[in-house]
Amino acid sequence: MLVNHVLFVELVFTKELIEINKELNSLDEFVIEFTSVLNKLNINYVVISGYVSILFGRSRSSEDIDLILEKLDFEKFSILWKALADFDCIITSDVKNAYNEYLIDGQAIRFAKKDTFIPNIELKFPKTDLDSWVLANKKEVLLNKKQIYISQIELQIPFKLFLGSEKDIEDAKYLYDLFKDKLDLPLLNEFNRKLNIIGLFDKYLR
Amino acid sequence: MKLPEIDLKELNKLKEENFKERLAFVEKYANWVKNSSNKKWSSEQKKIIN
Repeated sequence: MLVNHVLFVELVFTKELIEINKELNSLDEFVIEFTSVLNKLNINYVVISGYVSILFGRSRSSEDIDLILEKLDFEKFSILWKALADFDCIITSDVKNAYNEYLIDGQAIRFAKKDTFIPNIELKFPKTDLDSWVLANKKEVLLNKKQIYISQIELQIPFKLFLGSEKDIEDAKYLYDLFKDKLDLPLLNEFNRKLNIIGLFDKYLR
Repeated sequence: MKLPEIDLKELNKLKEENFKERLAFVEKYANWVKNSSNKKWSSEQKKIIN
């Protein structure tokens, strides 16, 4: 493998891949267990939002992990539902209801480990062009050799600024400080412009 | 009971200053992560998250 960039200790960053080995925390293990089911079924997905910062070391926890899933037909979704045998959908226990009343209607459903409530995976089908772009341009992460797909960091940072809570801005700053030497800055700037957050970026991250 | 005067402008300024202090800490922490071994920082992170 051609290694274009080496960032902080023991982390490899290329255009297609980030490879990292670290001591896993319980949230990492939860995400790996859930996404391994998606990987086995060859289902396209992207982990977005707060967990991306935690994955790379941000010192905070989270009760939910946001995930965009490719739009599945009901048959494929039923296969996924059965494969998630170690998890419960905490929104509804009925697969048809989950699919028709929530996912197809544009709402998210949540999965937690059996007999628990948090942490949970909040899962939704793509709703916007931006969601579709995220899925089509996902970034592979090998976390202790386990495969997870995340959104591009160049979008993750502007989108966190767009969300705009103090926690979101801190997450954005953390990712920017970690990766700023390796990012595709024209792409980042374009997302800053499209999301109308150039002022926030200049104020807090630069 | 007499309630205190509230200067929202002043409070917002303090909130903004606090936030900037926290951002400065986030920058320090990111630099610490970049300069520490993965074993070191992930071990510390595990203590907080677990």
